[in-house]
Amino acid sequence: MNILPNKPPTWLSTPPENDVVIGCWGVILRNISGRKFPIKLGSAESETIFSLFEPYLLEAGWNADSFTPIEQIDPIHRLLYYERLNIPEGVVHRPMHGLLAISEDESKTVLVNWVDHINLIVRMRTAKFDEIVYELTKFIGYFDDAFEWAKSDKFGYLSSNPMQSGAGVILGAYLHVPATILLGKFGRLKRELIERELTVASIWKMGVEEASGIINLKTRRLVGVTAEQLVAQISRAVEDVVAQEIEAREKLWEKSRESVEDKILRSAGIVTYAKLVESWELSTLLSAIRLGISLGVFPMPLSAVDSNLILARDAHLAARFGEELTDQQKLSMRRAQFLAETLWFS
Amino acid sequence: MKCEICGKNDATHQVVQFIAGRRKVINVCDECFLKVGIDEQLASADEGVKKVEVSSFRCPGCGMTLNEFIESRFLGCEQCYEAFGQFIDVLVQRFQSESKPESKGEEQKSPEEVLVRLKLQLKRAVDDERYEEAARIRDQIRLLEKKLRSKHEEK
Repeated sequence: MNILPNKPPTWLSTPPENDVVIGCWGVILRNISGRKFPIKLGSAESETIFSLFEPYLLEAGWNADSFTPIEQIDPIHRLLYYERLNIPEGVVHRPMHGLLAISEDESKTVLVNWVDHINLIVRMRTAKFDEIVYELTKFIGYFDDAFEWAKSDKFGYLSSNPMQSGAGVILGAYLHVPATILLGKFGRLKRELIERELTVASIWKMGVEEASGIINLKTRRLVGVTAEQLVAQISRAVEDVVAQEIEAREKLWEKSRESVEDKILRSAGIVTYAKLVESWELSTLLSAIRLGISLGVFPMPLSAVDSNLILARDAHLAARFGEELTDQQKLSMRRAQFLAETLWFS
Repeated sequence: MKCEICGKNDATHQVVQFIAGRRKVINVCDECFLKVGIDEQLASADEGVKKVEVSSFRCPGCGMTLNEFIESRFLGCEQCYEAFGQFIDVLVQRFQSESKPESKGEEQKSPEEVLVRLKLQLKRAVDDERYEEAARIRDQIRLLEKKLRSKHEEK
């Protein structure tokens, strides 16, 4: 795996389909029936399972050599993969005997023997969840005839994490809803989405992203539903959130233009001149600038901000500049320098 | 009374266990009692129902205990779904079906949940050097811990 901390993922570098959807993702997970789940696997059993999967991984276009044992990846790079790939946060702290492979454009990640025996994540810039599910089921189709998957009538496909059992598929979207927040309508929107059996979370689990308007919306009810129902559910929800946010932006621009411009330009000022930018500030500042681009305040592509949302995170800066992850002061300094030098010239 | 694991047969065993500091009594049938491996500590017979106090439920497939599952949040094999069925039902229902997770008011939360939340608040307040607030939260924690201690002693 040769991922450069100064280069954004290819799939994220393209222009987004609309200003609200930053990206979408889907996960498919399966466990072989009759085998212990990864948390109970020793290294020999883990190798056996990987060797069972090997010929089918190859058929699906994944060479065994492209898999790296997670234990062998240094902590900075594990965190770096978490920051840019939406792999579960637990991979960083609990490698188990898992193996990880990443496609060249970073739109796909395969995890073997981490939490579940096999797990594919697909990312896309646009909200085409049917295409995501097609990619997921196509991949698992290579294994379907060869393996009997752990499944029950009651819970559906069984995951090592019971919260993820059911359809065996989880779908989600990264959305940018700053105007909904500025208009004070986010609380209601969040409640509505939760009532529609979706989860609203922050992307990097820092909490601040959600407060700044960048949310990770994902399917929650998985038992008793099919992948097709999940596609319909999340697609409708994303459409509704996009419509509400666009309406909120128009209202905000019409009624409170000065205060919105002020908020955007203050953020731009900090990004341009600050000596230190702490990690918790990053999403808030970039969210305001992203809103500025959408409203035509800054003539630059949204992808510049989207890339920096990842490239200016702790592990990326630590890997790029050779800093220690624990030295927050140095990382804040590097972040400020990096943003000032790169953001406006993208 | 029906078995709380399979919901089909009559319960013949009353299993008592402390899970996450809380006393939990589960009524199970013979079949489920045998299916769920348990470390027996104390057993007594009362009106035909055997009372069993256990240190842990254990999955017969992979040997995972209920406490291990609660700690790690991961299951060891597909048989764990049967062995810990009742708890998984509750967890999955709570997580996947609850329509308003954050609408749960403070008064509806268990004292243990409130304690965990207060401890997190204390950490944040100390990290942010909000010492007055931290002292207030610390006093609330002490009071709650005292209440919890006396509640457990009563039992």
